[in-house]
Amino acid sequence: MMFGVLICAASLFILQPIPLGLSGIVVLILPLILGATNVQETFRSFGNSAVFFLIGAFMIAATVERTPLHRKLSLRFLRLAGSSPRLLVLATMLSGASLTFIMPEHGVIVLIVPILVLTIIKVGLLPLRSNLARSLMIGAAYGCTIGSLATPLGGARNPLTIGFLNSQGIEMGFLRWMVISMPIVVISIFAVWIILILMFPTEVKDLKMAAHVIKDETDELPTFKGRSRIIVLTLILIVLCFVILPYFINVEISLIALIGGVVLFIVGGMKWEDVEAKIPWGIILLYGGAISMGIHLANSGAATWLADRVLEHTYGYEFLSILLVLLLSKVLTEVMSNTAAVSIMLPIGYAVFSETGLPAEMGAMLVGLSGGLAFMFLISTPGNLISYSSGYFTQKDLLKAGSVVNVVTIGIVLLVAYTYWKWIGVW
Amino acid sequence: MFKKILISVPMEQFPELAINRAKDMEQRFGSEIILSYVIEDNVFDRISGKLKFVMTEKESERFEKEMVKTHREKANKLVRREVERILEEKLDGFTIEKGIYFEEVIKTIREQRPDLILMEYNPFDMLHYRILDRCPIPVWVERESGPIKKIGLFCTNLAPNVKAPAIARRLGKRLDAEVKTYFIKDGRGDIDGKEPDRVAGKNHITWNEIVEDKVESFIYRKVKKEDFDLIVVGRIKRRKYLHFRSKFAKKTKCSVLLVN
Repeated sequence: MMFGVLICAASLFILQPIPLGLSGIVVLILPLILGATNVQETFRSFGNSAVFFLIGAFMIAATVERTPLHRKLSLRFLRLAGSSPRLLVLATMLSGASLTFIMPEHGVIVLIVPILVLTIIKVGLLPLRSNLARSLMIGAAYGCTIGSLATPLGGARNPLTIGFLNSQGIEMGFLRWMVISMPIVVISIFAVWIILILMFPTEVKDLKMAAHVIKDETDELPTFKGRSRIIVLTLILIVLCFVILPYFINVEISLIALIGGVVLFIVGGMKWEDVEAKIPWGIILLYGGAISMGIHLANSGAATWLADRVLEHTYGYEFLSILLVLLLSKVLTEVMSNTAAVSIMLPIGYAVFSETGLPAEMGAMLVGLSGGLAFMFLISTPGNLISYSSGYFTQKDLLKAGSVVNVVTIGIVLLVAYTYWKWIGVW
Repeated sequence: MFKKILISVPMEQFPELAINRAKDMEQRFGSEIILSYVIEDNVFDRISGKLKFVMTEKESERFEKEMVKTHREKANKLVRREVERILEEKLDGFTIEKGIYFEEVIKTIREQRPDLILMEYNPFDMLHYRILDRCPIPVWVERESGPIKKIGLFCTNLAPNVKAPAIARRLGKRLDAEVKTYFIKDGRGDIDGKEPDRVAGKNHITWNEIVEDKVESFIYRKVKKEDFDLIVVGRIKRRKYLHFRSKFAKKTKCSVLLVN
């Protein structure tokens, strides 16, 4: 029965015949109507802490957008590149990635693409003719995508994974998430940078003009004084609380996110109108429905049944099972919303690993992380589409770069999972 | 001939070949050149569709506004300047429109009244070639900007052969190019046995070949064999042959001039 719900959810997420918030409600109540679960179970799973973490995260993101912090951070990174075009590509990727440590990737790319395009226009790089502009714009999208894996704040799929793991009795906090994911992020950023500069060799030797433009832009930014200084300090404090606090007191990161949101409101970091304008409430319903479905799939045994069908073909080959989960997550995430793909694959990945005798945490993390790595198509992630809308690269460029980056990042995830994760005791 | 040429620039293409051809025509025919940069709605529709998963409608609209602003700036500061650099002179007209690509181009045609639209072949996104169905003026799809030495004229009973023969003949004369002429009787339409003679007599041409064949297969075969630089074809308006339009650009591998 739950397998039918899974098929229904996948169809709703891909085809979007009804508004997404409504899809969330359908996915939530369908198991209830079919008698696969009871009312208490259903609403308890919907009220998962991950949903509240997301609300807090959206509030924090709303504050970051109101301050010149994102602009400052981006421009500071870009300044580090000096007049080297290749380093500018790396700096663009790093600036996007670092911002996704504190706010969702789509929010970051929406903020940095206009800044980047205006800088590129001032420098005079021609759309669709400049390889440097190509690699800068694709690099911005990829930087945000990769960086979003680093912390639970980077994308909704991360708290979704944490919420699912917690519901299965596996503790996953902010710092543990970072410890597990960070090597993938760091290695991928540098690997993808090399791919981009090799694939799109820059036609510009020296970017003194760009260095001047970036310096001027940085100089024009207001300095943090008075209230804006308090807001930035509060943001830093919230991030520190995410990382450190759970080690001293028993506190959920969702609670820290909500308290952070309220404190930011009190110190004037945002107005309630900002919260209303920035939080897609319909999507919160979708996330709630998706988390609930994942939990029901795992608890009803449907995920195990599905995992058994998968393992019939890969029995005895542990590596094949891992690769299969990874590839399936990657394929799904390329053609549908990352969060929807992760919500479908989480219980399956978890069950496949449990059935194989591998640690289930590893299965869920592989799904959660690889589900974010979508590079090939415009529809794969909002970041690709947003960056593409700048008109500086074609779909063919993205396909060309994305296909190589996909293979390389799968390799990096597997490498880290098989070596570093073993070393830190994930398995 | 071709007094006013429109080059339309979609978001995903910088039509350098088309601009070079326009420069050549401007020098030979003294044509005016106007440029239309189109900020495509479909790109932003796709973005708002995707952003529905992560962002409110208001935020998505704000982003669109900001990006449209950057596009206008880019078109004004970079695209226009680069086109004028290639043309080695100022454009006679420049517009920036936002909307559905082919609708905006048609709108510009109605307002500016050019007598030719020059486009560049884009293998990855055939969407733009919707223009080929609806455009009220001849459409030139450029594949390579070298000199035109050999032109193929293809008339058929499926198309109105009113303007294509005359344009091919005049182009041959002005460009000093060899023109080869073919009439294809396609069994999918009504065949009037006297039509080839009538068309030839009216336009003072002699057919190199009159054949009974499928239009598409004959053209592809001939283009491959004769190595034309440009083929001139009368536009086929019947609904069931609409696929014809994109195949021309894709399969002929030479520049195509579609004439009403």
